[in-house]
Amino acid sequence: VETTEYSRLAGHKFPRGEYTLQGHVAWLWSDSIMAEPSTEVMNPTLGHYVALHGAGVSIGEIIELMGGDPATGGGSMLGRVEVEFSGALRVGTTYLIESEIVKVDRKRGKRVGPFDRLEFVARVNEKESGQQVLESTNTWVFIRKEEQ
Amino acid sequence: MRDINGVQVGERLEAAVVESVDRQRMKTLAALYDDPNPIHFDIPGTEAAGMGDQLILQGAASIAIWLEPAIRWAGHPEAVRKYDVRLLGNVFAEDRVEATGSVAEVDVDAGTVTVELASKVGEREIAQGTAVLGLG
Repeated sequence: VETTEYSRLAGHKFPRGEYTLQGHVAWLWSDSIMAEPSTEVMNPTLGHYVALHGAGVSIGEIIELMGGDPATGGGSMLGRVEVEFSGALRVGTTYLIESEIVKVDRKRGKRVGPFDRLEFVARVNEKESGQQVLESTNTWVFIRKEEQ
Repeated sequence: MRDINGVQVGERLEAAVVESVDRQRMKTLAALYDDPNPIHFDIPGTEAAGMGDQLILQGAASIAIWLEPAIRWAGHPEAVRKYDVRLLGNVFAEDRVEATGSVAEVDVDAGTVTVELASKVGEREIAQGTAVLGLG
């Protein structure tokens, strides 16, 4: 594991986001991921979605921060996701989301060559009660083909 | 919801199968996700990115398929208290994905069961990890 020019992004905090989960979004999300669509029962992957989308950070912004072109994907892939719930997501509830980049480092794979890993953490709290509902950690991988 | 009493370490979860990954759903997901990466919605853009000639399923959808055996076994999606998954390979449009799992740990006092889950396309590994289910 090495540092990279993008390791300076570690500690970068994004502005706090506010997000209200709407019924049609929950339904469409579950349908799109080929799960049972519902406006009442939340698929666990919605935790990942609310944490990222609600944080107001787009995948395109993450790609740009890592020097890539969002229009081509910048060689990015989602590599790992951890989500821990301490409460339940509900349609109609407003959430506040705090997020930051925790770590960026570089590794080398036998097959893909050098790649950078960016770890992003978001904490989702109910706006009204202040109670934390979940914490989500995403690790994106950025293949650095040009350096092979 | 499944009763934790009687759950045994090593118990197999019924497999969940998506017979053919639907590219139209990928496009809806790209819009919801605000994901500009063309590999999820535009075949010429996927080819230009050097990623082959088929749309590639979003990681979140691969995770959902990987989690499905645990959700069905527990009896409710909101039984999932925690999941930790590594994505190891791409799923392409029209792929057949199979997810399997087994019970790794039972904590009756905490009311939780930890399951190990894996998904594959043929022999190709797609996702691996664990989920903690609250059954108390």
